[in-house]
Amino acid sequence: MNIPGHWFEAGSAARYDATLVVDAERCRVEVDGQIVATGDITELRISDRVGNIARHLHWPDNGKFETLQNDAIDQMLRANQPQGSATVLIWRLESSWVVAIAALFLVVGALFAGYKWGIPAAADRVALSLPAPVTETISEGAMATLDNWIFEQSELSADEQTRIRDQFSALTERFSDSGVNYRLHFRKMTMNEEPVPNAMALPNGEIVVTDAFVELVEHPAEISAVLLHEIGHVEERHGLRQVVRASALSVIAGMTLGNMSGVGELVSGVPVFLAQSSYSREHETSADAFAFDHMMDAGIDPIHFANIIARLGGVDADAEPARNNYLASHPSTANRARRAAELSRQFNNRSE
Amino acid sequence: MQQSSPDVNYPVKFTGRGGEYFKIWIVNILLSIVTLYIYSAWAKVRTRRYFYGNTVLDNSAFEYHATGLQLLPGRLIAITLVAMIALGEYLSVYIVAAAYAFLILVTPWAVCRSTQFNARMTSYRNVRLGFTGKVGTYYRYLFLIPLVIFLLPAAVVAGLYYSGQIDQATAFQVLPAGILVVYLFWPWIHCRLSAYSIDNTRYGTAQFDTDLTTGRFFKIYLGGVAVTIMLIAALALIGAGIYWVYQYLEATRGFDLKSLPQSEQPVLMIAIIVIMYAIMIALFNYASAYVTARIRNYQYNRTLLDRRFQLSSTIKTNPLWWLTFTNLLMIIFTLGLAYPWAAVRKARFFAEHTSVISQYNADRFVADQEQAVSAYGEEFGDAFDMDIAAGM
Repeated sequence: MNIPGHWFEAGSAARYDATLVVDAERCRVEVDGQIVATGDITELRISDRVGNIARHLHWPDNGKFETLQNDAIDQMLRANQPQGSATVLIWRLESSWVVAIAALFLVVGALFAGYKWGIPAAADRVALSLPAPVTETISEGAMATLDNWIFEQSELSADEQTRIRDQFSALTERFSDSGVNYRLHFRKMTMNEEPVPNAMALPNGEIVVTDAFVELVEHPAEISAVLLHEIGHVEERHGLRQVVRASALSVIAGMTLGNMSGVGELVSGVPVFLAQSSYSREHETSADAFAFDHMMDAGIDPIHFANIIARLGGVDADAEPARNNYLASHPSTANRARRAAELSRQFNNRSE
Repeated sequence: MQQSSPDVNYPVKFTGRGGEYFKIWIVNILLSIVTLYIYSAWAKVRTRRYFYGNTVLDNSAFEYHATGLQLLPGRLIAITLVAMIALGEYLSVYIVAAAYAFLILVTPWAVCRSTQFNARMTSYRNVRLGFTGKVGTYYRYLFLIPLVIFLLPAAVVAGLYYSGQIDQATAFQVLPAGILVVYLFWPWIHCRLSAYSIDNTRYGTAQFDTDLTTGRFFKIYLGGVAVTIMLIAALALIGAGIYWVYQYLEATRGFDLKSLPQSEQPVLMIAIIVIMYAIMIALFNYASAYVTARIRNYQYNRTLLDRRFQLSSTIKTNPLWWLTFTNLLMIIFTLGLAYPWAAVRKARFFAEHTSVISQYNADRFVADQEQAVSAYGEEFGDAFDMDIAAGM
């Protein structure tokens, strides 16, 4: 078998038109009918086939034969070293459109499964095994940041604070064996000079309610409803799970999208943001369910949850569902309130 | 060697095809997922080999020599660090500060080692490139000098604060200006580093030589700023025009956006945000194309190999901008699927605007001594998305 190509002597860029003459397991390179190199095919270092780029046959003394005749080289290899099949297999995979389309479906499926089950399962396992001091560090850091930048001193009266604190202790008694040290904080929060009604929980059991939220409440049971929702976040360790999921997402997005030269920086933030929002919605729904369970258990009508959530969102429970579902960090107010109203009917039927 | 023969222009060609690369790309991704990232080292090698092997100059292609096994350890260490920093961000601000300090400290080393590794792993016609740049020089330009430039205004601010002329809040507001000052010096740093990198690159035993002046770099960067300001001004005029038309319609036809149903308003807001974002990216791309094209042309056209081979680059701003912007759109609208075609388009564009001019051919080049190089710097820079090319 004669394979045309170019010959380079060891350490030289001088290029000669040459022919590789293959004779069973031996081969030789001829330039103008002169033999310039001979060798066993097994002692050559032959580059793997990638697409249709030139193949390089490196002689032990650094001489090199280069050719674009990929098929002829493959044929020569098949006859001589059937063991070198792993790299041939990869080239086969890379050169078939059927494999490419199948691979595309598998990749999309794997990414989806990873996002839907893989990351949550792995991240939750990591989050649940994080030692208590880590939880404390994260929470203290977050609280300090919030106090520095977002919160101001509460302006609620001492009486009102004591009343809510008593209500809070009564609720947290239900969870005394979970080992979490629940604490309640009152803070004032404003945005553009407007008071913001809000409640939030930190992973170590610190729960914050804002003045505007307390002022929005029309029935004491509404405070219990929201506090139970926040306790649900703590009991189910949503905060930590979110943190680990978010880190895992950004690392993986960086790995897969980052290499798309120039695109990564600009675009990878969008899917990461969307995915995080969806994880967050899942946790909100779960904390809602937690609150509903414990409200019914404690004999509180779930309708109070619907009422306060509707007032917080400024939306009537019967209003049309919000349409930008994929962008939101919380499920739509209408959906949450509707679920609460449903449970309230069950609750009232049962207590009758 | 005939001294009298006329100069020949040897154009660089790129022979890769989007469809062919797509098949390699998707199999690479699948195998990387299946092997939990391990295969990605081999995937990178195959990708590099595809692009090098399709870059053809005077009927010979470039060759990439690194192996997956060579890249793997550095790659795994780097990705572990990335993951730890990503998680550490939530633990405390000190971890974030430490991570950034670490990155700043390690970048000059990574840039130098990565340049060296990539040069060593590249050959053309059986002769490898080499790089003799010293890590110390990279620390001077990418760490010490920026630090001094930053510390000078910082010292002034500290002086004003301690002498009681400004309060703490003002001091913290003014301090970031120090970082801006570093950017003012960037064209100078870029020029010096670029000249150093080129002068220390070899092809076999032959040396690359360049002659770059800082003034030209300042002029190019200033031009980039001027172009950006002009485009922003033009856009502001267009925006004002649209607003005027809207007001006119409102007054004469009673047309009013606020009359849209409540549920349509968020959609309108999102549409406006997306359009603004797209305009911003297009603007940024334009300024970046302006600077990239001019700097590359200047570098190449002032660089000789072995005093006999003139490099040449002929990139124009508009085609480069059009290429990057349409590539970005292609990738976004296909959710990433068009990436292989975009990458091939880009490689072809840069190849087609590059050539080597000489009255000689490359036969006379000879290889130098092999030296051992490690891939740690290269993989580190890769994982942290460092702009390794900044050195060149």
